[in-house]
Amino acid sequence: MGYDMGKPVKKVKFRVFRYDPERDDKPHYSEYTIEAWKGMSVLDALNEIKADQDPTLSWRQSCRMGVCGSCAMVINGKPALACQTQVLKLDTDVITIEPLKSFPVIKDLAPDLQNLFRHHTHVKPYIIRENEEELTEEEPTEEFLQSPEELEAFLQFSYCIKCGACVSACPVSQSDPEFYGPQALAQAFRYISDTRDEGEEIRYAIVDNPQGCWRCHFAQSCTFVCPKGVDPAMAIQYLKRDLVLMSLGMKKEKKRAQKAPLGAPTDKVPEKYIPPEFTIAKPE
Amino acid sequence: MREGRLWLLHLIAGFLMFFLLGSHIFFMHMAGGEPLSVEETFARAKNIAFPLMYTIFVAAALYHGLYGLRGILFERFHTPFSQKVINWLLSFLGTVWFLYALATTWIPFFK
Ligand code: HEM
Ligand code: SF4
Ligand code: SF4
Ligand code: FES
Repeated sequence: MGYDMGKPVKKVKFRVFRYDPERDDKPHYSEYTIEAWKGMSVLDALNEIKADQDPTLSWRQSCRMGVCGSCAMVINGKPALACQTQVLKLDTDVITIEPLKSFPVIKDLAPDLQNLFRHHTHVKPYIIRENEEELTEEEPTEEFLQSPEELEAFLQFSYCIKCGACVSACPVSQSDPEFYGPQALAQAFRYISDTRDEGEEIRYAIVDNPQGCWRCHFAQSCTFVCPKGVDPAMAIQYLKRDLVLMSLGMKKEKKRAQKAPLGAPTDKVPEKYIPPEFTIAKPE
Repeated sequence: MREGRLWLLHLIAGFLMFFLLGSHIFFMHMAGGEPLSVEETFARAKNIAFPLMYTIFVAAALYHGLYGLRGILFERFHTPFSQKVINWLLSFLGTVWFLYALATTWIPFFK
């Protein structure tokens, strides 16, 4: 089967959550024992179980390298990507695997993430420009300039792969499916803090809602489990700060990205927009 | 806008309570010495600082506690109508409670 990538190190028992809403009255756990090898991820283990022991086991996967966000599940109580979790590093002989919390189960370890994407799309996770033609023009005539600092302001939030681990960990999302949740709120902040975006008023109005950022208790479980290093808890506190400042009339106006003609020579670009490792060749 | 102001008040009330709860515990439970007689208790309530502190304390505690309760209820009830009912009920409860507290702190002061 091609699993001899590493030598077997020890036997590990997997307790896997099983539930088929169309057949089962209630969930149960199936147990499988496998030989774990060095380098084996939980996703590898599931594939081995499915190939050799139980073809009926279901979950979702695609990239198997922490990029697509499909394989998030609760591994020994903590939401994580199965493809990025090393079996041997869990340092235990029994591994319990359950589907993400806060979402209905489609089958076994595959959750129905519709609610995640409903909240995600609700915060308008895309660049909004007052002049819409700017984005729809087939032949753009200008480009935006962003300094490294301006990029830093939203970069970490743009790493989100919509895996849902944060929502699974969030105590509020678990009790209130209408709470927008850490994923969507972090994305609202990601676009608000992008200097190319002009939709902050629309988005502030969306998150300033009883089911929006005010329901977050800053428990930070979301940040703790995010496999991509996103800090949704911080984004939500920034949203609260901005909204409080706005309600007191003390919020500074947002900085807008400068624009330059398409393909402008680099010596025409202000120095602070050039990333440090690049030097500008000045004409003689 | 409104949600932001209510949330800020919740934080300010929590901050105030941190000190007021501390002074309450100190004066009422830890100041030591002989237990006060009934006359001494009434005499203490004549000092303006006493009812003043307790008025601020009770306002902060009521607001903080009821806003917290509102948050918990809002997690369960989502429709604008049910949230409006919760707002009215909690405001009513808070007002009645606060008036009762005003009476118990200020009547001995003026008596
Ligand atoms: C030293 C005094 C206190 C401080 C500094 C304090 C501070 C806080 C803070 C920071 C929060 C979290 C706000 C959030 O979730 O965004 C909170 C929540 C809350 N507090 Fe207090 N608090 C204090 C005393 C009290 C007291 C005496 C009560 C009861 C009357 C109370 C009732 C609540 C409730 C019900 C919540 C909401 C809990 C939840 O949403 O799960 N607090 N408090
Ligand atoms: S913020 Fe992190 S945990 Fe949440 S969906 Fe995005 S990548 Fe996953
Ligand atoms: S910080 Fe907020 S969003 Fe994140 S887990 Fe806690 S309550 Fe949920
Ligand atoms: S399979 Fe794509 S993130 Fe795990």
